[in-house]
Formats: sequence, C-alpha cells, structure tokens
Amino acid sequence: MPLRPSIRRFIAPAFWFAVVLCAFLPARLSSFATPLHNFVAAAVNPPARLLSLLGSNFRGRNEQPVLNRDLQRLSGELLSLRNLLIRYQDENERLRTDNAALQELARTLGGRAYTFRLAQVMSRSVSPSHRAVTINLGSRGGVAENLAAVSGPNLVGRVTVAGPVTSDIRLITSAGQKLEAVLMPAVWPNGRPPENRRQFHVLFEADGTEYLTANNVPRDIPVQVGDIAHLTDNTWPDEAQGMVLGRVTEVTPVRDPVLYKKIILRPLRALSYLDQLTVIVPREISN
Amino acid sequence: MNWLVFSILAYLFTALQLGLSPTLAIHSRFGPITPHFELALLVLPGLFAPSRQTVLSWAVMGLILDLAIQPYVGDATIIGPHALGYAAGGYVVLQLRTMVVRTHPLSWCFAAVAGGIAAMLVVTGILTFRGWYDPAMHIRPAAELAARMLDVLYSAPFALLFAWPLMKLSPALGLQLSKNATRRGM
Repeated sequence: MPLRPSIRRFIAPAFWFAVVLCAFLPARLSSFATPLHNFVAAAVNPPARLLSLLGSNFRGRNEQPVLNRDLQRLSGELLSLRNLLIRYQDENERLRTDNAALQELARTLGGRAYTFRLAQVMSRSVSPSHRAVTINLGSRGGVAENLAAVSGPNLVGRVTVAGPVTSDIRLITSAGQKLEAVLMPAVWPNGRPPENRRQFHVLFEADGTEYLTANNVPRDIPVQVGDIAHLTDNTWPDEAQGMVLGRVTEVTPVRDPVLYKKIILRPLRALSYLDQLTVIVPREISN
Repeated sequence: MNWLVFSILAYLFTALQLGLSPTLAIHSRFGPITPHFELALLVLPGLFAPSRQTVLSWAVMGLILDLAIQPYVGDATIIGPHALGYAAGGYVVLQLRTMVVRTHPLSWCFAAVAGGIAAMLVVTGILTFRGWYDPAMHIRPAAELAARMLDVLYSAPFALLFAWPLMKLSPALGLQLSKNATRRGM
C-alpha cells in the first residue's frame, strides 16, 4: 500500500535525523545497533570469507620466497643449536663421568681416614738425576712405601724405601718420573670455572732438573704460562690425587713433529731444599 | 535508479571490501592502508543518478559499512559516521560532476578520490568529536585522517579498474549514460 504523500515527506528528514542522532550517541546507548551489525555481518560474511580465502592463497604464493628464506635461516639456526646440543651432551657425559669418579674418590677417601705425619728432612741426594730426600720417619712412625709426601698443597714425592726410623722419598723431579696431570688456570675468570671448561690430561716427565717437561702436547690444548698442574695419575695413591705439581713456566711450539708444543712445569717450591714435609698415612697403615 | 540492483551490487562490494581489502593491505606508519572498493561502485550513481538518489545511495552505502565493519568502541557498533561521511562525499561528487567528462575512466578516479576525501574527512571529524565526550573512543585524529586519505588514494586505481564493467551495468541500474546527461549533468 503506497504511503500517503504527507507521511512520505517525513521519511527523508526522519532518516537523516536518526543517522545524525546515532552518529553522536554515546557508545553505552548504542547497544541497539549490535544485533543489526550481527545480521549484516552474517549476511556479508559468506562471500567475504570466500574472497578472503582466495586472497590469502594469492598472498601466500607471493610470500612463499620470504617464507623459504625464513625457513632456511631457521634451519641453519636449528642445525647450529643441534650441534650445540651435541656439544652440551658430550660435556654433560664428561661431567657425569667426572662426577662418578669424584664420588668414587670421595667414597674411597671418605671410607679412609688419614694421619698426617710431619717429618724433618735429614739429608738430600747429591745425585743430579736421582733427586730424593731422607726423612726422620720410618716404618715405626707409620710410614710405608708408596705413600705420598706433600708440602701444603704441593706434591713432593713418594716414599720409596721405608726403613725402621728413616725413609727415602723420591721427589717428583727425579729423573724418569712420569706423572699425569691436568692443567688449570691459577685463577678462574669471574671467580669460578667457565661452563665450557675442559680438562686436558698431560703426561709430564722429569729429567733430573728442577723442571717437569711435557713434550708433544697437541697445540689445540689451551695452556698458558701460569697454569697450575694437578696430579691425576692412577699409579699414585688416592690421597695424592689433585695435589699441585707446579706452575707452567714455558709453552713453546715443537718444530718436529709439527702441531705439537712443549710445556715446562716448575714446582711451586724448591723441593730439594725443603726442611720438612708431610707424609699422608692411611689409618689402616698407621694402626 | 533501480534500488534492487544497487542493493545487490552494494552487497557484493561490501563483501569485496571485507574479504579482499585486508589481503591488499599495504603496511604504513599509520597502519594498514586498504582500498575502498565501495567508492568504485558509488562513483556510478555519483556521476549519473539524480541528485537526491546520489546522496541517498552514498548514505546507504555508508550505513551498510557502519553496520558491516568491526565496531569502533569495544563491542558497541556506532551507526552514522560512515553514513554521514559518505553522504557528504556524494554531495561533493554531485557538485563536481558537471566539470568532468563522466564517461571517461579517469573521471571515475577523480570522482572516487574527491568523494572519498570528503567522506573520510567527515568520518574522521565525527569520530574525533565523539572522542571528546565518549571515553571509550580512542583515536589519534592525525594518524586516522592520514590513513584514511591514503586509503582513498589507494582506491583510485580500483575505481579505474571497475569503471568499464560498472558502465556496462548502468542500464541495469536504470541510469542513462546519454550525451545529454554528460553535458548538462543531473
């Protein structure tokens, strides 16, 4: 039914009035528009969704090279991280082994009790190659063969002959001594060992002088002058493990064979001139 | 003008706007710049429809956009900014159409840009004005205006693109592309 002309005259002004009113109506009073919005959105969404999918496919093809570059970069990072993970796994395995060895050592040492016998040096060997000292303690004082003699944290030598009242101690600098050790910095940066530290075992040999020498050490082993060598030789008693052998005084490359270097180690104290030292005696021996 | 055909075209162009426009977005410092496909459609009644129908068609299209696009403030839909803005745009096109050769495709670009700029000025003005008393409305007027102006400029090539098919559809809309109409305007 057609509207009366008198009513039709008011339609346009009413429309514009409503639009202006709605345009400036506060949001809290505009809730009536939400159902209308939902209706229009529901009506328009199917073709809009279809177009959006088409557009996404088009855009996806255009962005594919960028994605490929990102994928390659991420693959590189993944590979790098995988290598890092393998390194950490190796390091973890090594630390686990070290931990097991240390626990075993702690168990061994913990099960043992030691007595520390202070001894006076009675005489010193005059042989330049056979560096040894004689102390005033023998088997009657609880000293036995193969026990370690120390001076503070420094390893001095090993008891070779245990007489009733005296003992001979062969110094670590005596010619022919072979000692395996690890080299560590004297002071760690930041006061603690770095997480990626590695222990390199080096075999030192004494030639009768005051020095211990390690020949043919691979050049890639990180050693610096001033590093400290700690005993890790299984042929020595447990109580001597970790004692200080000396300080690295010189690191020189070896010409033949190449890719090796020579490390010279000097005990922290002049062992031949010690006046007194300590013999570490396990409790079962001293009893 | 045939409002049924216009409604169908408005529906399709709204779908284009909602579906395809985000895909064609260009990222700028003012936000994503998107084309307004509906401007291409509105140029047709803007250039060839009678004056009242021109303004009304632009306003109706703005009203549809107000209802179709995402709400401005939280979950509240604001009716009116686009309706009033596009009505103003239609009025500007109405004033300018006597100065152009309406059947030339570049005239469509010009009309779309001129009408779009007027529409976006009004829309931004209304939204900015609302921001003074409506605490829920947060817009940066300068950035909003810049983004909308860039939107309009971005829409010009699409107006050119749609010029020819829409001219072919003009008989269905009941619009006459006669020489008389092009000369004297309506």
